[in-house]
Formats: sequence, structure tokens, C-alpha cells
Amino acid sequence: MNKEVISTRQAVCILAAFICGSSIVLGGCTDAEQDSWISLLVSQVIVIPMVLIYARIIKNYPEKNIYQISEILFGKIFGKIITILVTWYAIHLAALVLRNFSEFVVVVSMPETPQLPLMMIMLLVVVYLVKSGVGTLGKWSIIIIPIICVVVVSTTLLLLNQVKVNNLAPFLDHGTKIILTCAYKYFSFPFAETVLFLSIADCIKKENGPSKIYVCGILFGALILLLAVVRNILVLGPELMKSEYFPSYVAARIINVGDFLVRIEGSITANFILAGVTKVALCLFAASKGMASLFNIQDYKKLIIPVSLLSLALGCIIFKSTMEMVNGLDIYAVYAIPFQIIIPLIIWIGSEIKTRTGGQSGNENMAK
Amino acid sequence: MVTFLVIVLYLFVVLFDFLPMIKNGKKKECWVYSVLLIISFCVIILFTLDIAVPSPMIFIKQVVGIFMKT
Repeated sequence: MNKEVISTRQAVCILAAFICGSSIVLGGCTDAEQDSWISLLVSQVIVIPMVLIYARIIKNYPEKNIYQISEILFGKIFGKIITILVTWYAIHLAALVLRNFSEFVVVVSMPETPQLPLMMIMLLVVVYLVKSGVGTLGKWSIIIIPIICVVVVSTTLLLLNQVKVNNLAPFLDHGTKIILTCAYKYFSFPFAETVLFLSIADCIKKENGPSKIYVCGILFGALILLLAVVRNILVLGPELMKSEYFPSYVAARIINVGDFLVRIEGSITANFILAGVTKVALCLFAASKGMASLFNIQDYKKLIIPVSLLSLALGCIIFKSTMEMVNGLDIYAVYAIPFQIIIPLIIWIGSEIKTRTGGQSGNENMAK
Repeated sequence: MVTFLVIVLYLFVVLFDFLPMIKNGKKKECWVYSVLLIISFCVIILFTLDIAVPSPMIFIKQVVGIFMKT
């Protein structure tokens, strides 16, 4: 079987598109209202060290994914436990994004349409992308990132005539506690979800610096998100932005240039589809590779379809309503701690100890 | 209608993906594939028939609730 490889640029684009994912439409945490953009910037202070830890794991064990690394470090049993946990997280996240997409379509345009067929349609595209391999995902990401950027920038420019700078005031009105809580929620959704990128770390060549990939990808994604959040605050105002389920979509509906450039909110839907497909695809890569590693199956591609159907089934039952989905962010921020922080920290500490005590590291294995 | 759609989807999956895998003769892969397929099929069919399936979020909320209290 040919080994799949992605370049640095492709990896950065995958990360940036993954971060945009559902956040670009859902808008992330809006508890801080007009200070949400400050929370997003503050979140980078905790995101960057965390992703450097993810990158360090890749550097210590180049051309190996998180499942292989955990078995090397902790043996079969504990390694399999970590594999089960990460695989579950990947399936769960894929289900969440699928559900976000179907709820979005139902709420904004097709209220009579059942959600299952909408999720199935998105899943068909994602399964085709995943079956084509990581290289195809990389090429896909390189194509869609400029499209996402163009849509975000153009909607922002077209809304300049609707901007009210007073919506940013009062500055730092919300206390430090709310801003920091919101910053942590930005950390857990969507930045720290990039832990799943470790499952395709075996596709990154040894020469490509993982730190550069992670930092560039995170900052690029954060920049796109920041532009979207600031646009939403300036146009909608803090109260409307907080009360709307999909603030970016509502902001785009307001666009009215010369009475002829109106109703271009379809561009936001297109953005969601493009970025959402990338996010679900990466989650399914992680889940399929995890399942294959769990059962010692050589070719993960054979399990893509059943794993994706499992995430579809989970997506159907996970929430009863849109409100439950949106309010679930508070629970998610705590629930994700083991997968985003604890497991990577354990793996990182284990890899550093093994490397420094002169045990067999990935580098030594590669030399052989 | 949605139930019919789901059955058709699974028939396609079995015919075009699962059966070729059985012909290749890899037992372990077939077992894992079939177990995952059956679980997802049961959950989706119950969902389409409006039969309540317990969501894992209930368990997750309880666990998170315990941690938040401590």
C-alpha cells in the first residue's frame, strides 16, 4: 500500500479549514458579547502552548500517528485504552458537526425537511473524500481555504455600510471571569479539537516541522474566525449576536448594496459546507484509523463506511433540539478536557521521558 | 419514506462494499464491519420509527455535573 503523504502547506490548510469548520457559522462562545473578540485573542495564549505540545509529540515520534505512539509508549493494554478514547472522541465530534449542519439547514431554510437525509447527503461527500485518502484531503483544503477567506472578507466588506462601531463598546465591560471563561470555551471549541490531527501525523514527512504546521494553521484559522466574530459584533450588536443560533448567517442576510446585491447568505452556507466537510473528514480519518488500530486491521479504508454510519447514527440521537445543541457548549468544554488536554499531556510526558532516558524513540526507530 | 431511504442506503453499502470484502476472505475485517454496521443500522432504524434511543449526552451530562459539583 502506498504511504499517504501531505506537504506542510496542505497540513496548514487542513488545520485552518478544520478550525473554521462549524465555528465560522455558529460563531463560537458569545457569552462575553461585545468582548468575544478579546476572548478569542486571549484564547490564543492557552491554545499556542497546547498545540506546541501536540507538535512536540509528532516531533518525538515522526511519521507515526497518535495510536501507534500510545502503543509504543504505554504498551498494548493502556495504548488500546487511549485508542478507544480518542476514537470515541473522533466519532462524537463527527456526529456533532453533522448535526450542526443539519440543524443549520433546517433552521435557516428547510424547516419541513427531516434531518437524517441532510446528514446522509453531507456524509456521502465526506466518505468519498475520506476514501480518496489524506492526500486528497490536503489538496481539497488548499482549494477551499481561499474560497472561505474570500467569502469572509467579501461579506465583511459588503457590510461596512451597516457597521456600528458603538457595538464594540463598552470595552471590557464584562469582568475578567467571563472573558477568561469564554476564552477557555474558544480553546475547547474549536482550537484544541485539532488534537485529532495527530491521527494523521504519520502522513507528515519527518522534514516538515510540526510546530510550524500547527502554529501557522492555528493562527490562520484564528484570523479568519476573528474577522467573522468582529464582523458579527459590529453589524448585529452584542445582544442579537448572543441570541442568534447562527450569527454569521444573520449578518450576511443584512447585506444590501445598491438594492441589487442582496440575499447572499448562501455564501455563508457554502462556507459551512466546505469547512464542515473538511472537519468531518478529518474526524472520520481519526476514527477509522483508531478502529483499525484497535482491531489490528492493516487498511483503515475498509472501515470508513461503517465508522461514518456509526457517526451518522450518533448524530441522529445526540440532541433533541437546536437549543440543546447550542447550549451543549458548556458541557462540551468540560467533557473535552480528557481528550484535548489530559491524554495529549500524558503522551507528551511519556514521550519526553522515553526520549530523554535513551529509550527507543521514534527517531531511533527511523534510523533502523 | 426516510426508513425506506435508510434501508436502501444500507442495501447499497452491503452490496457494493461489504460483499466484496467477504469475497476477499478477511474474517476479522468482516466481523468488525458487520458489528459496526448492525449497531448503526439498529440505532438509525429506531430513530426513523420515532422510538426513543438514549443519547450518550445524558451520561456525559451526569458525569460533567458530578465534576462541576466537586
